[in-house]
Amino acid sequence: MEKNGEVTKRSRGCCLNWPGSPQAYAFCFHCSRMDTARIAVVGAGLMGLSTAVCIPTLVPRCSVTVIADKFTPDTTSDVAAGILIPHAYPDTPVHKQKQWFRETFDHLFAIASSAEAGDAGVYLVSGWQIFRSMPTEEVPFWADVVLGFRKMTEAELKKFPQHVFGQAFTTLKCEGPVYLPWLEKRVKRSGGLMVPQRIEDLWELHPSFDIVVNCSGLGSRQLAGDSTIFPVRGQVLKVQAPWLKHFIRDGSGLTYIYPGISNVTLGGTRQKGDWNLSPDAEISRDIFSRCCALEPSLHRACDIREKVGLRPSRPGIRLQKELLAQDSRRLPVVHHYGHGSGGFSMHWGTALEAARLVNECAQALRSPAPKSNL
Amino acid sequence: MRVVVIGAGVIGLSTALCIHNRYQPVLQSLDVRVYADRFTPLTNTDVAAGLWQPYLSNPSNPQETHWNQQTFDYLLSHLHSPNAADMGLALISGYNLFHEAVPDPSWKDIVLGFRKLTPRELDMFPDYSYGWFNTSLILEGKRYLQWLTERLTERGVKFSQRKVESLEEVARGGADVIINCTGVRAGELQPDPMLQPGRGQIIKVDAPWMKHFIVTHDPERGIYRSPYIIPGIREVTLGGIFQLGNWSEVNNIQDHKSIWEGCCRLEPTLKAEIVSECTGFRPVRPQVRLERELLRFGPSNTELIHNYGHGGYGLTIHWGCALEAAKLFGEVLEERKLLRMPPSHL
Repeated sequence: MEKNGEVTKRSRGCCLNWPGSPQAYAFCFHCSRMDTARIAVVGAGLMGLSTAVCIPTLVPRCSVTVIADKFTPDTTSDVAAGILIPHAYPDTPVHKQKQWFRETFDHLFAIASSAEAGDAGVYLVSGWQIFRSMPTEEVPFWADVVLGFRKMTEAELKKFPQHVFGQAFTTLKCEGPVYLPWLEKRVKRSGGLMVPQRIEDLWELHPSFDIVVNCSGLGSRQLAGDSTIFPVRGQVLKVQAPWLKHFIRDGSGLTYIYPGISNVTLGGTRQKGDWNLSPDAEISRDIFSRCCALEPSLHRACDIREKVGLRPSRPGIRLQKELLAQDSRRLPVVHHYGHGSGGFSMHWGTALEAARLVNECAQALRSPAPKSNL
Repeated sequence: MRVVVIGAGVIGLSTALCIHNRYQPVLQSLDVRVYADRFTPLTNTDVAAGLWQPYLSNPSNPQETHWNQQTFDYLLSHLHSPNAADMGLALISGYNLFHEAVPDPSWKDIVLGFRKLTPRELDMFPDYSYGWFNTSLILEGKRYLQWLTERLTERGVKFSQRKVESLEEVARGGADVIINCTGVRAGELQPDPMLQPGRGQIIKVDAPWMKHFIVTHDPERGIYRSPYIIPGIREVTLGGIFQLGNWSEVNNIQDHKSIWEGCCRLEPTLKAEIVSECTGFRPVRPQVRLERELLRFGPSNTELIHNYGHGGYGLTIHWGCALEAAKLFGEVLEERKLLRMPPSHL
């Protein structure tokens, strides 16, 4: 039988879509009568929201529901400064990292140049990455993606007497507490729903949803049984210092100053395996002191607030389909998590890939082969 | 030794500070006063966006290039102190845009990291086909004048709010040396046909995501007549007006439209809230008048040092000029045999 030009197969007798059935909204895995693909995105941080924005652009006839226990401004993504400087993932091929970074940069660059820039919290910022000793890689893989990348001049390095080498470039910054609400608006505008609810087990989403996208970050330890993901605790200070217009990042990544729209982020720490979400006063003093050493005008900063985020760290970003099976139940899941320190830098590229994987799942559900291999 | 500085804009206050710093240790009788009818926030300095950037063409007086460099170096040396923000001083990078290739400016080695724009950067500005990127300084007029006032007050320099009607009045009042920093209205004290107002109007908006300056150039229209966007410490200044000979202090609606449309076209992200709008007068002159003159009123002579006519680059050149004015003042002291070290305290 034909419907909308697609050939659909008749039910094999296991379809649950009986009228009046208590599971009237369920669909049978083997029956391709699924019209609207009901997609649940678990997690409302940067990955959850950007994936939720990408999905309707790639998947025909779908509905998106974002389910999470935390929404902006209470997510890890809200703590991050949101600067686009990639981090290396040992288990992800460099060409993939470059591709995702480029896709993210190009996408955000267009926003930064448009009338939406202020609403989206996306803008260009220039600055310096400085090194106390010569780095092994003077020109990183992403040098031609950012703008105007070059070595710092001797005159520029004079500002940092403890440092011997530096790179100057212009990149983008995404202000989490502005960008995330803007993404939420985009999700809602395309018909998506936000549901505040804590999910303890992905099976809770069955059978109400056809496909689950797991963007739960550290939550995947529980939800996906993934023991390779662990927190890398980051403490930062958000301060008022509106005269600062440049970013400064020490090559080690431990000390940085990122000017934002409504405050400046000073960082930071990298504490592996530390789950503590309460700010530590000693650490705050240390961060402030390290940043003042790079930028003495910070002594005049005021309204200093401490924040902590747990980076969802993993040797590589997990972007993968998985078919969960339990008895006769099947639940296609697309995993999209594990970005560690590099979430903002990669998010659009990986969200597009996650949406492509979701589309593959949807297509498979709509016209399954006798033995579907999801 | 009574020194009267007339004018309390950036030139008057910085010259007063420079002279006091240099000569107070060796001239116990030094008494510096500032007379002005307008103080911050009502001076022309308060209207300026504050970007350190000389004109593109070489100045007719080559000394001005040296004074610009001295100012940049002086400000740069203050960047590393915790005081920088108090002074209204910060580093800022940004774009200079042109419709066609132009030679590099004489100040390209003064600013930091000067380079040409890459094609991708130029894509951001479809009306322009060539440009520069460099790191320069912002010195916010209002904050800097407040800082100068505090430094001068600490040193016991007195301020007097009054309208000086003539140089003679100041001379007869007991001034030994007068420093004329009256800017665009210097002609009221001594006619100067070379001095003209270069009226400017600016709009200040709240757009804290803007971290770069963008200055466009149109050789057909002339300097400051092409849109510019200059972020300050808190607000962003939009401008692009330069009207020679126009003394109107009132904000003009046509100028407002011209600025707003020009800047929004240049930078589409400027969907921003307007905070204020104001008018100022650049003291335009073919070159800065920085020289001595001897005034003879009655039996005594009064030394006059002129320091005015800095056009649209007053903040850019101010410290070099202050140093030069201080040097001229030193010549006066030497001629009058007034310089001596204080007695040593052993």
